[in-house]
Amino acid sequence: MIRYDAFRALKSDVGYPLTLFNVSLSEVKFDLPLPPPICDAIMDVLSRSGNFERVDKFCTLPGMSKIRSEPKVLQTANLSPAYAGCDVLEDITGDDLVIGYVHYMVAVNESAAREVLRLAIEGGTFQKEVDVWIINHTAYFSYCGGFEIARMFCYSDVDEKANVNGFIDRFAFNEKPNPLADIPGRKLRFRDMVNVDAKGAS
Amino acid sequence: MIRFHLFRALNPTERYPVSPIDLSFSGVRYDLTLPPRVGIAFARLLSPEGYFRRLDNYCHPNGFEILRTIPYSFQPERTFAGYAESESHVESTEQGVPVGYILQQVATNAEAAKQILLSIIQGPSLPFDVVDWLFGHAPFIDYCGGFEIAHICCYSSAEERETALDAAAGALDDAEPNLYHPHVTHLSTN
Repeated sequence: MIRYDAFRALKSDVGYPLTLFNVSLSEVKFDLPLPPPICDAIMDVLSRSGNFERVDKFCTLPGMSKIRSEPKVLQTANLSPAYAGCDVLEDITGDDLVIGYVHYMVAVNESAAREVLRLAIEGGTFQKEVDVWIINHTAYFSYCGGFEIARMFCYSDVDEKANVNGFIDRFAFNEKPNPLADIPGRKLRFRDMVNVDAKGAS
Repeated sequence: MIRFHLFRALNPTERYPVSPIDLSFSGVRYDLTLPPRVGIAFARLLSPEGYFRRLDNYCHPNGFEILRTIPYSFQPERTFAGYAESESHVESTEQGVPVGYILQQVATNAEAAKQILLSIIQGPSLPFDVVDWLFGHAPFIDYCGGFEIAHICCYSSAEERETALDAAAGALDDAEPNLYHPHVTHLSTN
């Protein structure tokens, strides 16, 4: 399983840093890789702190596309910090192949981006290393015009899928049944044929 | 620091599996994410010793562009198990904070892909979990018509940069010295 977390500006302003990253997830280009603890901390504070308003009507894949094309739709009437998020699952399970990914995405408006930065500067909300990372990347949060962060888990066999499954309940944005809960039965594999427990092999 | 390993076919046949993964790096779309141990095992399998011939003409980023657009460039060498490799280090600096990545690439022709599959079937000294994974994904190797693997280390701070450099070097611990020829690009945005 690989996990990839990334950050992109919704509407970058003068002063937004130029990066040479060219990573696209589901055809959306991102500007910056995020260390997983930073991504977790930001997503957690958005959904649990109470400082941010969730805009439910954009918490769908078409809603996220709309925000990307028109970031201003996420501005609330009183310009308060707001966010929207959703998750996407793509999976192919057949024959001996199990391949897929779970992609969490969340977008915040400009006020929310500044609020995240303010919380880091004030301290006490995030862990200290998260505060330091955000402050070190102030220009990204100050001039992004709102941002989108992605958290993607990719798997390419049934064991990795089971690992991803362990993350789903912890991170689900939408209250719905775990889409990976029904893990299909294991196929006959090399380790079965030679009767060796791979976890014990070096 | 984020490190991952990606796989894509160079010249897939009709029986090559369909992958739902839509992950592109530097404008190149990949088909499969490799577990770290599998990614590193691939890097070490392709040693100039034994079956595989290193094709020096393609061992630079532009060579890989040629292989992607004209995968049959490897064709004159198809009776050989040929491969090429290259390393790029791309970095920008904003307010003293380095942001960048180290990209190590390996590409093989169809013959090398077949040899890898054959050597796995014949039982090389690979860890069982790696062999198990490769068995489970044999169609990707069998029908890829040659493949490309990207080993990527991304960083967005000075500390992560050091870790990324160590990780990139570590991938080559057991590999031939000077196996990769770095092409370093530095761009300052200050």
